Amino acid sequence: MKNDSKVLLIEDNAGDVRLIREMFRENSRHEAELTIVSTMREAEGHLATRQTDLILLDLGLPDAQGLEAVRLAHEAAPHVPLVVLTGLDDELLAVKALKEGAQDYLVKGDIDSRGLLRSVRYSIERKTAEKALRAESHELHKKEARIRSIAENLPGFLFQCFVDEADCIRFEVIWTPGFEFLDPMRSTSSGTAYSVLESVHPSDRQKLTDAIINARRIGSNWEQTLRLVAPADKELWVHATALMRPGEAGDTVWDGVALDVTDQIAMEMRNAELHVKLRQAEKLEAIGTLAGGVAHELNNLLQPIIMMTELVLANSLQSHRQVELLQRVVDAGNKAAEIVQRILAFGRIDEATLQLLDAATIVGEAVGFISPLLPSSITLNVDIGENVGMILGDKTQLTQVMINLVTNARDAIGAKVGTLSISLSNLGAGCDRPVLRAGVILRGAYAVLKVSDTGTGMDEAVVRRAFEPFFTTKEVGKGTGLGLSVTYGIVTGHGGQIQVDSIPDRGTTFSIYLPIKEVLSTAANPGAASNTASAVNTESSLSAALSARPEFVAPGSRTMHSSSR
Amino acid sequence: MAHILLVDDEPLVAESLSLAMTSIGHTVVAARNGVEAMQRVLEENVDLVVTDIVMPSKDGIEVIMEMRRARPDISVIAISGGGRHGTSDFLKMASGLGAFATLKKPIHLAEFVETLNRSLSV
Repeated sequence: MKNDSKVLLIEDNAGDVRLIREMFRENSRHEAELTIVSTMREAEGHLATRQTDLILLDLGLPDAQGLEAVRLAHEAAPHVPLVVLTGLDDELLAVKALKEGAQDYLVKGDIDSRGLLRSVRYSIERKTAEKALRAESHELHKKEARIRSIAENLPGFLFQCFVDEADCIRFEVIWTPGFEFLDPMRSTSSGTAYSVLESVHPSDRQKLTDAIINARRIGSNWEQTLRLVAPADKELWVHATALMRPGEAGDTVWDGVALDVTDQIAMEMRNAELHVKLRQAEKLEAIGTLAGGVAHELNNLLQPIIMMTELVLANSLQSHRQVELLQRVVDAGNKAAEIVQRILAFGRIDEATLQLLDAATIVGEAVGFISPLLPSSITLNVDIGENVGMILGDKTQLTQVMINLVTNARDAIGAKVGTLSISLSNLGAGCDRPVLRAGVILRGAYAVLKVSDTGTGMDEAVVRRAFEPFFTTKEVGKGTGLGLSVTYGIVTGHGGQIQVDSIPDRGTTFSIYLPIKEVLSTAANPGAASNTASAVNTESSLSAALSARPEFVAPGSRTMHSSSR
Repeated sequence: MAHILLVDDEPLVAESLSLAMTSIGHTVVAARNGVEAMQRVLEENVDLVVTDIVMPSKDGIEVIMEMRRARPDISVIAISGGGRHGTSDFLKMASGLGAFATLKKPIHLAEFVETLNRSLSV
């Protein structure tokens, strides 16, 4: 007890006041400043203005009795310790007073000086300690709230990792939104306790446990990037960093944080993928250049092989057997020339030579070309309408479109049994205009080519990306991801539109709309469709030369600059 | 029979085409590139020019353009074995620039003879 403790005695009985004052005086070592009031009202006035370290309260005041007095005193000075004074016959009331917040009670007539002062001292000390504890607890609470806030807003979670002497690994996780599945209180369906390791991707589990066991052996921290399997097989990438701290009883303990790096990893993977695709594209470009050079050389070699053999053949002096053998040389030369032609056709999509073509003929020819590519498990339905009309187009490119669509349809059906339908019809000028996906309303007459399959179909996300260059759902090496973007480029290059309708597991329909041209010129010149093949596609410098010299351009021919498309 | 200028930088190609032309009675004068070709046109009285397209020095496209300017009376047949941009494109250019006919290597004897006859009968 501080020597200058300020004690307020609330007592109306003059005898008791004297007695208590004497007791304080007797023990001069612990002098206290004693203030005496005789009513609760006076006490309230004093407590409101003066510092008080302890209240000694009589429970029989003129203006407050019993527990009511305790409550009022407590209200007037909630933080000041209170010792109540009761009569000999009223210990029950004293006990109740303790419950109301009094520190101690003294029974009048049974008080000695030492007891009084001890009670006063202890009450003050107890209250001081209580106050300090409360302040500390408040601080702790604030700190805990701060930590909880950080933990809960962490893009990841905090954890502790324990390893015992038998190398048994145990995790405790303070899970956060998105990681509820790591709740350690969750039990597995089999009823056994859930282990966080179960949520680690099977392919990463061994790596993680090895790292932990090794860290225990050498007594180090550990760090791992791994996948967690969230409900619905969603994969989350986390980067876990664990710092070792001394554990109890042979346990090794790490405190750690695991941060969600899913987006970062996804971006890295996308970049890597893009890189691979760029390299694939560069490779294609290189192959194209190489093919051009090789084709030139081979054709120059095939020229003498074929022509000299034919010159020998033209000489009638040869025997039947010799003629037969020489003819085989020519045949082989022709086959080689065809292969060279095929290599040359590779990768040339930006060059278009437009001519008037009969849509039905083009589609019919392409079907003839394509049908041998289909396995017997796929039924091919072809429906080519009559008098669909003429379109202005590049025959090679349009055939390419057919091949691309049919190849995709074939691959979508795969090894299953299915149907592939090709139809060509005429969307006459009098028909209702379909509003296409892209919101384009077609005006005028169109030839409509539809290629449908009963294959796997595509979901909305795939449909949206279907025409993107390099987008492919096929395995690496099975598709370049260029087929549909090339198709798109060709169709739009022809002033057409392409529409895709797909239902997962049901199939896909590609519809291609190509504008039909008035064919008045055919009437005037019956050979026009086949004789307008002298159209030109040139390098820009040469096209300038051509336009400067119109006399060099065959009448009726058309020029299409690929760069303007 | 005709006197024909053959322009090709590949000796084996030139030889095979030359043999084909002489076998049906024509006479052939050879040039290995466009520069040589234009000299021969000045020196000799040729009836027809058969020219490769992809050649060093002056290429076949230039030969065709110069021939159109200098000697529009002489027909030109363009031949090509392709290249970086593919056979047909060069030949389309040649055709657009006024070549009488275009042939893609390897050329067969029959089509070569037929084309020669067609261009000489103009």
